[in-house]
Amino acid sequence: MARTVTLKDIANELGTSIVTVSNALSGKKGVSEAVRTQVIEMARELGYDNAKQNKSPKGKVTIGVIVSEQYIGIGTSFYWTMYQQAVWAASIYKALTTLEIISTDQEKQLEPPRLAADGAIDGLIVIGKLEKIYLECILKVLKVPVVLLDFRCEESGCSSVMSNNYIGMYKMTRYLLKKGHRSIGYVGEVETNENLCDRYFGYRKVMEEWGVPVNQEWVIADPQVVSQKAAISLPKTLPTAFVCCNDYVAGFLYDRLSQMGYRVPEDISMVGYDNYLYGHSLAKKLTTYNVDMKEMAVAAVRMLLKKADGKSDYYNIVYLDSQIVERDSVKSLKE
Amino acid sequence: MEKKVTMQMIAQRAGVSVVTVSNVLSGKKGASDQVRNLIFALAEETGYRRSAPKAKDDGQTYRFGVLIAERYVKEYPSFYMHIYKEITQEAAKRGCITILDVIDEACERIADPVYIFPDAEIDGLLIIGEMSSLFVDLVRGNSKVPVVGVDFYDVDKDMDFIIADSFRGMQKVTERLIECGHKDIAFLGTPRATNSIMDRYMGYCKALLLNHIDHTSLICDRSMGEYGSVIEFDLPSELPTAFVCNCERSTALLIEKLKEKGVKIPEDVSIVAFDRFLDEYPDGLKVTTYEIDENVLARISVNTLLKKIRGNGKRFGIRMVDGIIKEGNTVKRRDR
Repeated sequence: MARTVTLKDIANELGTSIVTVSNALSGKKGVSEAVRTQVIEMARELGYDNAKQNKSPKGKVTIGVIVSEQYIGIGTSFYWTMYQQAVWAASIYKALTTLEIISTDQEKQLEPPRLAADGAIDGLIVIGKLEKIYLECILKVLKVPVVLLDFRCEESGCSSVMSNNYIGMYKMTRYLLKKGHRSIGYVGEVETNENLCDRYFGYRKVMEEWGVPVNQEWVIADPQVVSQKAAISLPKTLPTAFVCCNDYVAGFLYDRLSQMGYRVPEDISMVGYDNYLYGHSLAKKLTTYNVDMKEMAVAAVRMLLKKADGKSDYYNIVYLDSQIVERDSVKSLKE
Repeated sequence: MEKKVTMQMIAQRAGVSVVTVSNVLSGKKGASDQVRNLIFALAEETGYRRSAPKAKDDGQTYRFGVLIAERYVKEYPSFYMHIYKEITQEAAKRGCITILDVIDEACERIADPVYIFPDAEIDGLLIIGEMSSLFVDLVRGNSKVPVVGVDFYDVDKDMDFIIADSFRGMQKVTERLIECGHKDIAFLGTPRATNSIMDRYMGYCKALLLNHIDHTSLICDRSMGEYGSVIEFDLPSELPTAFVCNCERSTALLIEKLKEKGVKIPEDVSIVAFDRFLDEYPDGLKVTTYEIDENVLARISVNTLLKKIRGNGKRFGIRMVDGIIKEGNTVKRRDR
């Protein structure tokens, strides 16, 4: 059988790039008329079948993705990376994705995402926590299944895929105890963010289990610190190690400790959570818990596609466990 | 587009039933050579292609070994035997069978080298309920098959565990009390006895913390023997307005003790608990509980083991199974 003619064949034949050929054939800009004519003629000559190449997106599932602006405002962010993983995961299942970034105003004024318009999408993934009232407002207008990524809202009845915050931080704190640490502090927030609250209780669990008292002076629970809007005020006497609610906070604490002349891990040890710290020197050094974004994205997409397909209307919350990434921010205190 | 050739089309042309066509094409008995040849010829002529078997089901029958400690089997009713039943049913749905071995105390303590399922070829192993850590290590060392733990966990072991979500479950059921106006709430249970009791205790602490209730109180309910535990505790001289019970056995004892003292449930004291396996307590009491769906627990356990057997499961980890609050009649709304 004759081989199907591809864009590459045409490009080779004419000695131009595939991009040029593609642009020429699809009527896009950036190609001179002369080249365009040339490409089209060559395509005809070789028997290039445009229809065959451009598989119609009809029949493909389209997944809408929404993320709140506040999470992906600046540079490379955790949730932007997670979005990328969702796109990749969707592509594995031959699904298309469409993204909408929800502005703070939009969320406040309860304006549903444009994606929610009739028939535009077959399912929706929400990355990162949205206000419950806004989520409810979306659910009211949206007729397709919704899966929440990295947060949960039981009242909404939407299934979620999350990192196992509680078990993860339990593992991290336990790691410190096994390295001989007994005076262990915690930096993060507790009451305002449920994911971080669960991490705090993972820390509390090990301390309780090992019979090591939690010194409240060493528990720095401040949302302002987590968002790096306020400086960390360190206690007079320092513990031998800090559990940080995420890697960003670990980086922030690291800077503060460095300023004060402390070295990590020689003078003080620390562990983080996420395995996501960009553009900080601590990234290569920090022992942390891996949040497997790839696995989370795949799980969310798979769950959504099943629901969109009508194969599952089962409500559940999946907590994905992962491993400790051992680097060099913890000193062993054992002889 | 050409229409797909179906067995039905071949059957019509050959003048036989679809079943016969199916049997012949899948190599089964029950057709004469003449018919067989005719069907093959037609299938070839029409370009019939059998649809590829579904990737999910490789049609193989696997044998799952299941281990349960004797102490759990001795209880009646036994929660873990119930889980075992669910697992067997789930396995059967996937064409797999289970073989149960009840491990006695001596065996668990490794008095002798352990030979698990010496005569049976098994493809995977499920351990239901917490067992001694050394025993689990030994079993894993001796058997070359994947092992999945059900309803217990140990973060030091690189294996899969499927557990009920004790932490969030207890948080939810404690929040139920708080919604009803309770502030003086005691936790009945010994956190350090097991991982899951500690998780339940943490869930209770979380609920109180998020609701700004500083007063926590803990009543330990068991003495840990070397093999299993004995439930025993004294009621505090001043009773709280509500109890959060870590397990069913201590719930039963608590109800008994309160009854002896003439304390009325829920008029005087409210109770919520984790797990409800006994359906009813005396006097028509139905305890408000957080329960997981054992069937879901079983299904996820079987699926996880199957994935590992087929080599698809990439990673190890702890998987938590969600549950729901089952309403009973042991919580009284208090005036705020």
